Amino acid sequence: MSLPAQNLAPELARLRAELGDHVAVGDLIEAAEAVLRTLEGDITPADLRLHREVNDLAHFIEEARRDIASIRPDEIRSRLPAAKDELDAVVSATEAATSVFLGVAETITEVSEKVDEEVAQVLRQLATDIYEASSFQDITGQRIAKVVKTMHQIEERVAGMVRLMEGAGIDPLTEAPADDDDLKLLNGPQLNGSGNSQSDIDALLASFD
Amino acid sequence: MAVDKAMSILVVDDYQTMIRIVTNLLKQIGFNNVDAASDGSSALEKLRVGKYGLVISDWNMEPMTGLQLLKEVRSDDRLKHTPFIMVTAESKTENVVAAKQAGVNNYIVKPFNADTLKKKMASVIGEF
Repeated sequence: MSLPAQNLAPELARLRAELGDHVAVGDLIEAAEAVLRTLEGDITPADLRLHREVNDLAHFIEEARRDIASIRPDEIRSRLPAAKDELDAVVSATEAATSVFLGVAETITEVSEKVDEEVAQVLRQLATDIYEASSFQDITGQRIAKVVKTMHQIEERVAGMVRLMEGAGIDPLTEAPADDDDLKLLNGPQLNGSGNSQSDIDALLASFD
Repeated sequence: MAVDKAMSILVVDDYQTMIRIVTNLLKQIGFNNVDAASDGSSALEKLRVGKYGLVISDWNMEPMTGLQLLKEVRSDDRLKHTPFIMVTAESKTENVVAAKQAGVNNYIVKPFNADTLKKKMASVIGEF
């Protein structure tokens, strides 16, 4: 067999002239096959291994292309806005319920001003408990906002897959880095164990003194 | 010096429900003169024309965050000594450090209770 390098160079030059330095997946398979066609003459065991590996690579790329197609990114993309609407509805519903709770607590507070002090204290504590518990809504809303933001990033990546499927080529989609240092600090609520507790924060603040 | 419970307190949060909760909790502990703003920019406008004894601000707001508001307050000659408490779900160490370096007086992590609010206020403006 001729050494691949001898036939490979003009073949690669021809492919580069024809396809440029960036090729679509389909063209890549064609290019691999073109390289294989350069393997002529007596074939050594090393040539066979190379042939097999290039062939495997071509099959792997073809399978990957089929896998991506089977994901049906267009369908995923069409469902994401509906999922975001559902989450918005959760926020609206809990917000409406919280408003009712707060109204009840405010009424209890008003009533507490018209009764004797002993009963008033009990009523005020009940109202305080409701106010404290109602702050869950704020945390819930922020957590859902984080999920929606993540879904938006997924949507962008799926859109990238669609463009890839259309053979238009795609730049890697990465999260745009925040230019402003302050914006990098917007992390939102942390899961249990991830952030600092109030006592941790107190200790941290005290360390500055 | 005794704390003047008639002083104005500015509560800053982009979430109206949270403003309502904090305002009610403040009333429960005797502070009835509570004003509100929905982000840092509108808070700054109010601070520049009014007189407030304390700012209680959320962090995560648009277009101006609580941290940006704090920095604006600390760089303003008339406002720079205004007591400022951050009340936020941002509980990472980097957040607390950034707020402290910007001049925050105290930091409350959400969700919080009335007792925590009262203690932190007392540490900033004095016992009441």
